[in-house]
Amino acid sequence: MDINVSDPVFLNSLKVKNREAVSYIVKKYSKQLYNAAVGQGLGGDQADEVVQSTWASFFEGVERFEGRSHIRTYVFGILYNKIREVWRYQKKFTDTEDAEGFDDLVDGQMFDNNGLWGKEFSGYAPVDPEAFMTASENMSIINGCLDGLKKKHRMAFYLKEVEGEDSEEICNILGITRTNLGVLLYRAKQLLRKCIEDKYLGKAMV
Amino acid sequence: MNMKIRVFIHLLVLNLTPKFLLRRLAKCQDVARWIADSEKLSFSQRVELFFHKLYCPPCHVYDQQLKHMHNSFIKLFKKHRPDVETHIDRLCESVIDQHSKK
Repeated sequence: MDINVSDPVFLNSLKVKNREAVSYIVKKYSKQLYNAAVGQGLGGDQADEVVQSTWASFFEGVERFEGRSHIRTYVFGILYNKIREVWRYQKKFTDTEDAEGFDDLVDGQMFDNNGLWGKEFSGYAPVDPEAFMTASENMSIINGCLDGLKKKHRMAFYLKEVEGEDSEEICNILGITRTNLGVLLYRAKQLLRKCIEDKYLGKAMV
Repeated sequence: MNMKIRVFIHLLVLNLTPKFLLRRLAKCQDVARWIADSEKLSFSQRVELFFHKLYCPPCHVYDQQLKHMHNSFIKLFKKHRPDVETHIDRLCESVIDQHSKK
């Protein structure tokens, strides 16, 4: 049975903690929340706690929810803040990272002054796609490279590419503009791609 | 198409295209950004991207790499794990019991 979770009647049922409504919403999003928490590098137990505390905050605040954003955006917004709290506690996340400037570090290494791939394709251009594919199918390689990403890059990349979330919703969850999201995604992809190439394949000519 | 031929075509395009025209064409740097975030491209940008990938091997390879990478990530995070499914079911039950009126 598919229920429209943005429907005011459904929202009212949630506000009065109707068991069916609560059960529907929890079952609908818990798996995604759990996977998203694991995708951000949390262990099973931590992911568990984060999901439970996300739901606790959600049900505490649901009476004030006016339905201006999609309920999924609202829930994921809470999850993102909970994950940030865990990172802060683990000192893996700092405010400077949150307020980072979008410098052109990545581009500066990859492209020359004319906007072409650096050094006539010899050093920085993408390597043979088949070798890359073999490396990128190795999950330990992927996990290692994911761990090297900054947290906001990782979250933006995960929401966009794995969860297939709308750009507008990701911007609401992360509290950033559409332009910033474009930069975050571009940098995340470049860094992941470069990491897979550099660490595990070595640089090669196309 | 063989990669060496692609590289040759790319160098040919770069060297034979008049400078004033080359300045109007998208740079690899722009194209890499478009490939990474193709959602907000205009129609003309999409057309330019399509032609650029035909004559530019690094950008073509870059596009393929990103596709492989996305598929790998999706596989990694969406693979079916029965133990996790059972765990999430238990988690759901506990959340529902805690936050609903019986």
